[in-house]
Amino acid sequence: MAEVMAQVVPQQTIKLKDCDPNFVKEVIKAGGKNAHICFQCGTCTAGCPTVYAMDYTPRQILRMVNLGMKDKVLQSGTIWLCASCYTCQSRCPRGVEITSLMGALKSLAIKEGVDVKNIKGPAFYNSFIDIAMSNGRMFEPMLFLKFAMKSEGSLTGAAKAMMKDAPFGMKLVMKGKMAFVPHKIKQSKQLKTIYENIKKMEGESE
Amino acid sequence: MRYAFYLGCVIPTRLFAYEASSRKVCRELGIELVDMEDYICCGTPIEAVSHRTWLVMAAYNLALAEKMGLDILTLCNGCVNSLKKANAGLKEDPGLRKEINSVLKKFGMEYRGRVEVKHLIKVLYEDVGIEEIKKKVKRPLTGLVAASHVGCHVLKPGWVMQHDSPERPKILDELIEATGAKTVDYPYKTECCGQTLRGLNDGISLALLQKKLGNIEDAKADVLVTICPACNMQFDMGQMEIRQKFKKNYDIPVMHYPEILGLAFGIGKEDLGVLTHKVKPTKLMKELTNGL
Repeated sequence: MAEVMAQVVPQQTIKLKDCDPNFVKEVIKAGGKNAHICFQCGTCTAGCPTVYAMDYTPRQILRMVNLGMKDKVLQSGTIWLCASCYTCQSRCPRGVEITSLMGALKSLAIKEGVDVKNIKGPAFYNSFIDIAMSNGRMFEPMLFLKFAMKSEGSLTGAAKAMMKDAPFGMKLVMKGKMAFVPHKIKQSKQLKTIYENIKKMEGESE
Repeated sequence: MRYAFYLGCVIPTRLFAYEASSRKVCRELGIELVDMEDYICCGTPIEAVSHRTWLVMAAYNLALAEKMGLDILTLCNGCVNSLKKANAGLKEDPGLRKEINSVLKKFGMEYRGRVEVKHLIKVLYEDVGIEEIKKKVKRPLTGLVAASHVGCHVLKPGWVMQHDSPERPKILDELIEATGAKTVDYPYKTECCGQTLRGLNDGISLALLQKKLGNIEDAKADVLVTICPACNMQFDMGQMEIRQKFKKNYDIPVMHYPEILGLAFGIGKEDLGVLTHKVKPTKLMKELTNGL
């Protein structure tokens, strides 16, 4: 029996020296409201549509956040598999804002510069924010380009990825389904400076 | 009924059928849409990366509507989710509002917390009402069997969105039935379509989509009705991708709700942009016009 159990629940020793007791506070501040009052019922995991592909379930992530296992949480693939469908957040009996917490973990992973192999999340979000904050609105051809550059890491890689999507993109433009020039709002310059200011503010408040 | 019309980023550049049909339907029902000049992205995808930037972006748009003295009407689930969540936070926490306003001041703007945000569907259901809509129906879509996909972000988290029951939504189905069409239930109706994982993990995105399409196919629906630009693109273009990759052809036309409503009102299909979708509702349109 003990052997069977060991297979089902792989046992790990959690070492206190690897834990950061302030991690949960950091997560709450970044948007994971009520993370500290999770009582481990597992409703979040039960309703999650992408849990089958995750290395840790949402419930495990919450426990790990509360234990302060910062490195393991931020390196986990789970946070990049959240489809942000809000099912967990809607159903949580403790009012833990789990979807927002996954977002908070994404932002912390990006800030810490955690590099997870084959995960394109950071490249995508960084490209999106660059464009949205310089134009005011999204502009998809630019997003494709920036995302390809950042996720492939080299010009040739990006060119290859772009070539793959180019016929489809051209079709969209020809059919009038995608704009060819970005729409810039009048106050786009102010927007950019504001974004720089916010980044500075967030950096200082750590 | 006068609203500040917030279109978001995707609809004006990718889904002109949604915009055109919504404008026509609203005109028919006496909902006046005042375009918001110089609105910016609602901030949805940025929420994950920078909480504060997201709040500033959402608050900018809310302040813009406040200046116009109007509540916001939007067609997009992502936008309604982002704006409503930010609005709730800014309304209940004066400290947060002050902090965000200190940034908005640089645009010469301020948000006092006096705006409400609504999805078009909610306006149709609450402000106009099913009975009024039924009165305007000139060509009932009798015989049409529709499956609905409401989408996650307009429903959840339920206590903030206050749109419909997050687990058993009924508003969209009632609105579809007002056109004379029938609706069918199918398993996992409120589950995610997978669009939010596009670009990040296409494999899982497609797996979620296939699960939904399989259930909709089994329910024998003629058409899938959506109220979100992201869901619509996922279902419509995703079917093309599945056909190429897995040689599986679902052939389920995907339409925005205002298109269905517009057809029932007797507006021409060209005016509604019905034929701009990837999966052409040709067969469906033939059947509908034959029956009229």
